[in-house]
Amino acid sequence: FYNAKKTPQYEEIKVPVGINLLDVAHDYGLELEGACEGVCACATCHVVLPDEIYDTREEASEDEEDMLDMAFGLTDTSRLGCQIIVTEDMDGIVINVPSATRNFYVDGHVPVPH
Amino acid sequence: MLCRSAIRFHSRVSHTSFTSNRIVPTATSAFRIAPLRCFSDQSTATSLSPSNPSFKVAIVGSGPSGFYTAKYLLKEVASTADNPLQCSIDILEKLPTPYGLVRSGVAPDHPDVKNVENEFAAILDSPLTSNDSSPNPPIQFYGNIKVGDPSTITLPELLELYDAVVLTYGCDSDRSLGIPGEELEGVHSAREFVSWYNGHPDYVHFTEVFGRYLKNATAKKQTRVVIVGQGNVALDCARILTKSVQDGKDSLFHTDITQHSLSVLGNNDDDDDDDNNTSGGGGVAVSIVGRRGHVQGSFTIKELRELTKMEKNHDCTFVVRDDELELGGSTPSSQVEVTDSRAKKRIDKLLRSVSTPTGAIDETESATKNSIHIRYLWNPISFNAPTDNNDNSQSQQSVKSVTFERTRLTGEPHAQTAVGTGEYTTLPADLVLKSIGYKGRPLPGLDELGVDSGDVSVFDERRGVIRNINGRVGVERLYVAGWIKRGPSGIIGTNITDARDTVASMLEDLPLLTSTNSNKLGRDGLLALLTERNVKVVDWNSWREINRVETDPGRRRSDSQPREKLVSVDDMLNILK
Repeated sequence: FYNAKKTPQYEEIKVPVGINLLDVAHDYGLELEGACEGVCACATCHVVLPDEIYDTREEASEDEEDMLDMAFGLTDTSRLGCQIIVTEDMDGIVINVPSATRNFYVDGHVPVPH
Repeated sequence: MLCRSAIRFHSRVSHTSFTSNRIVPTATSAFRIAPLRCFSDQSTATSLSPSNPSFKVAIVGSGPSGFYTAKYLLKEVASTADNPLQCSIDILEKLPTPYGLVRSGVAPDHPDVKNVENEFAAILDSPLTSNDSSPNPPIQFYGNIKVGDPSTITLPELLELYDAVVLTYGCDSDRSLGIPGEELEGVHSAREFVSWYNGHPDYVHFTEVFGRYLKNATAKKQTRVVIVGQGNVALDCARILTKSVQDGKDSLFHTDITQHSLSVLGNNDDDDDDDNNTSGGGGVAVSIVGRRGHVQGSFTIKELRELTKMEKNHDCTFVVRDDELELGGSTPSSQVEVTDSRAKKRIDKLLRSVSTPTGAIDETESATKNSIHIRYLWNPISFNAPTDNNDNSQSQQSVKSVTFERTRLTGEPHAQTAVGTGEYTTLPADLVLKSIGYKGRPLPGLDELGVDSGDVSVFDERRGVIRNINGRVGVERLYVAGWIKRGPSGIIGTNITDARDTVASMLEDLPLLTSTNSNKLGRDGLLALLTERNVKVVDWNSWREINRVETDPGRRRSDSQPREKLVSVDDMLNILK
């Protein structure tokens, strides 16, 4: 049904149109968290779209924008994966998943008092 | 017809670059790591000893940090080597019920946020780990276990049984303000209020106390609640205090808020009147007060936006004052803070769009209508008891009002402090909720294990966290994740990267943790010990039974109510007999 091609850098997969990116990740075993199960109540399925795809999507709802405020590593072309539906014009694009395993302060960091 | 698109998912971190992205620890407070730690060891390959093919881990605490640690530990160990170690991970929990603050912290009117429980349950229920099919599943849950209590199991005993122990027990205490009157009756922490309405067994006894402060015997008399602090917990409390409790749209009636709370909160609608006549009871006037401005507040926009809709859905006024927005927002540093952050920009815009000129605020609002006011740039100075009280016994005095000093902001962007201006005001208060931060406590037995290197203790009392570097504690084979590691910050998802950080440390230490000399008894040893001590262990199947009872239609007050929680540990254990 689909071709999965893994390289050291990325995995290329063929997916049907009509499902959202969070479901794509889960169905195809890709690493993307979805704590709230896709109802715009968290920011864990945050993805970064290529410019031309970001510009041509339907605008994010107020709910999605509110949750994006809390996404780690937010960019100008960030969206929640659960709100982006796969369409034909997304053929061949690369979607980035921001991840950070090392963004914590070493103990001893003193938060600025207020 | 199925059209297909080829999409490439590019993950910026691959396993091979896992360790090269590590933050190199810089000079920290005087804190020596036990000599066994080798930061220079960059290998993620496991040196597998044939005589000890398993990796036994105990995780203390079953909130998001505990579950994410288990999830990623299993995942990462399974993918490190050709012949990966067999993981045996036991998640231990003090209560019979799992999920930590997802169950006892997340507000009842935010049910979607609790969806993450399904993912956590799937980890325990999946074919790989299912209790039904496998005799020794990689991940197990054991509830009703108080780690640190000698009649159950101590931390040293746990470290004897497992190759590694990860503490993920969060923060269950409060920061204090340190101002006069903090011990008065009627002054509580928001955490206590939240734990109470969410049915945490240790807090249900607050029903009588909160009932007293929220109840108004006199017709048309308001209950005034002052909430100190500007985080989402403060906003949660405000909504729960003012949302309608009768059966209706967006009412608390259809949430998993506990029945005992509903009966107390409902007193302000109307006590005994069956036909929703609200003229008998007083309203609740909530003031949420912060010492800094709206730009510095910690609450997030989703929760603020909810407050702006309270008028429409719950007949509850929501007020922020123009002049207070201006006062805090007009400092050059605040303006930079707004420009620097998309989130702050949007919050600033939202609040300005709904604010009221101070002169236009009706200070004598209807006593029967609920209201939420957010006040900025007021620092709490004292909690005051009535001065004309003939009974001078301190222990019987209840709070009557709170005195605040007007502040102004000073300092560089992202480092502004609030300084007093000498102007004071007093707000009447029947109930005060301090919402200035949860705080962690040391697990009993923790400090005794500390590295014998002088006077730096394992636990940082000031910050309320266990000292650590990337989750490694200065005690052999002990790790931390979640709030007890980084402090009480962030949202559920923040624990994902936090847990992965700790798991990465554990992976690096794997050769040391699973050396041939260790021969840990793990799960078998734990269960034998607990049986010997007559501890009633609640395993995953037992939790599923408790869950079945809570979600039983006969027990729930409505079909749309997700569950009616059991609120006593004895009741839970009795079900399992």
